[in-house]
Amino acid sequence: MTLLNNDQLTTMLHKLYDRTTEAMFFFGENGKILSMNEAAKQIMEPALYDKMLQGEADAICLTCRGYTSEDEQMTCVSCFMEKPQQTVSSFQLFLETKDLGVQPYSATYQVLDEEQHVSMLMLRNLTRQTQTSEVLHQRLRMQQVILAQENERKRISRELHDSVAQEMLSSLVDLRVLKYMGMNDKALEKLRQTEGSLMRLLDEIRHLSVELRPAVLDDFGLEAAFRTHIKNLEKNYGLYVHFESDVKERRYDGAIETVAYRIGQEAILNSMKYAQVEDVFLTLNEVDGQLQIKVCDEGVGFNVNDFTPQGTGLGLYGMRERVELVGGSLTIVSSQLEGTTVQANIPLKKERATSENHNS
Amino acid sequence: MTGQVNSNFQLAIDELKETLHADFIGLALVDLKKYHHGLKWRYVTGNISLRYRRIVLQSGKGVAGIVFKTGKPMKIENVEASIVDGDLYNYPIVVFEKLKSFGAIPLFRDDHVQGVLLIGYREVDRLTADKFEQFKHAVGPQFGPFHMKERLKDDFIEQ
Repeated sequence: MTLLNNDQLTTMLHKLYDRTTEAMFFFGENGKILSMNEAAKQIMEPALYDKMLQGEADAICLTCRGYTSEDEQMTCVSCFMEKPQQTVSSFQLFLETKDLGVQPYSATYQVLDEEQHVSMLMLRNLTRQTQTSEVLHQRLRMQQVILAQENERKRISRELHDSVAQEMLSSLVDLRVLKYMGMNDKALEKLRQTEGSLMRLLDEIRHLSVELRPAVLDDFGLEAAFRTHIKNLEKNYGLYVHFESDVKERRYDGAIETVAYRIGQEAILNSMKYAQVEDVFLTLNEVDGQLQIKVCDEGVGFNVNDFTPQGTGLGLYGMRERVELVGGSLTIVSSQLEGTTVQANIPLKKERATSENHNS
Repeated sequence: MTGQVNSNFQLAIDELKETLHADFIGLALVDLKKYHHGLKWRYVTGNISLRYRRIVLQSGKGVAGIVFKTGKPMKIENVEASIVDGDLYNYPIVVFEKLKSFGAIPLFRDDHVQGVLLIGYREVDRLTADKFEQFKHAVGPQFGPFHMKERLKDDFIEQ
């Protein structure tokens, strides 16, 4: 290490001041701005810049929008300029910038000379970091929501299937016994009607339970669950789903089965809602240690990279999140004329950080 | 059901279509032998496809299912304005028959809904309130054991 003499150090510090991408401000008494470097000028509206240079007190407030405290995203409560002793040396600050609006910065505030009240503020743009952490945060939250929703659906579905429906069934049996206990025709007819209503109610409860989360999925696996789902789609919506599968009765990890089922369900629903088709093709294969699920339609597609969702837009987002939850990948190919293909590949070997067993 | 009854229903809805200048009329019935099984469109007139045959509705699903469950009439004068595209799939008969204006009423038998009668037009706003009233009153003896009885007058399910 070479020791520098004073002159050299001054030159180098000067260069740093001029060339650095960090905005630097020197303040005098009452927050009067003594100097700003080039980087600071760059982020400022020219008019504001001139005004700040005129040496008004607290000129920084023209552009500052507050710092992040534990209570608020942007606040002026106990401003760093006023109580430099209390301020932590580094914090997050928001500035109104030229062209880009309010942007986050990582700020360092340093008192240089207590007697003459000279201090310095250094800012580094944090936009990229903030965005990254926001995306990450949103992701984690979404995945938690998906898991919570799945568990809750499962709980309610089980409750309906195991307890409510069972109870109803035993009342129905009682009612049938009643029919043979000798009553007149009029009462018998009424009893038959009641029996009919009860049976319909029982059916409804079962449908509700299946819609929430099919017990077939847990008990018999993917293929059986899809077959049931497809049958219901045809009945309720007149949609034909052509299903091909080579997984037979093979079972996978609970989380994988859940994800595969939900992807298939969601993709078919999308086709039904937006593609204006009567036929949808669903294939389920095991290829090279991966579970591959593919949903195609030949209807009205959309531009994958640039489209305004007709619905909430959460469907596509949710599918992707679900696949990533089990370390898989999702590809969507779509064009206005040739329809849409949604394909998910889910690795069957465990190579993921998070896991959740839905079958437990 | 005898063949006689079948042809009567068909005749009845054909006539109804003529008198009300409707584009489509459908009659959905539950299977009379099995109490709990699905609701199907058994008689139609003015249909443009056969896809209606696939539909077996659960109570509460689709136009017929909703009317069946609630026992109340349902009227949508303008499908384009009242139902957003993404929701239309919930009403398969409307999609298949390209209906733009429709109404449906429950048909009762012994105080229980046993069927649903639907009138549809392929242009918006064709089924006005007046026309819907006319439709309700047109259900007479030609529908055999079924009758139209409103539980609460003018209490439509507006979507």
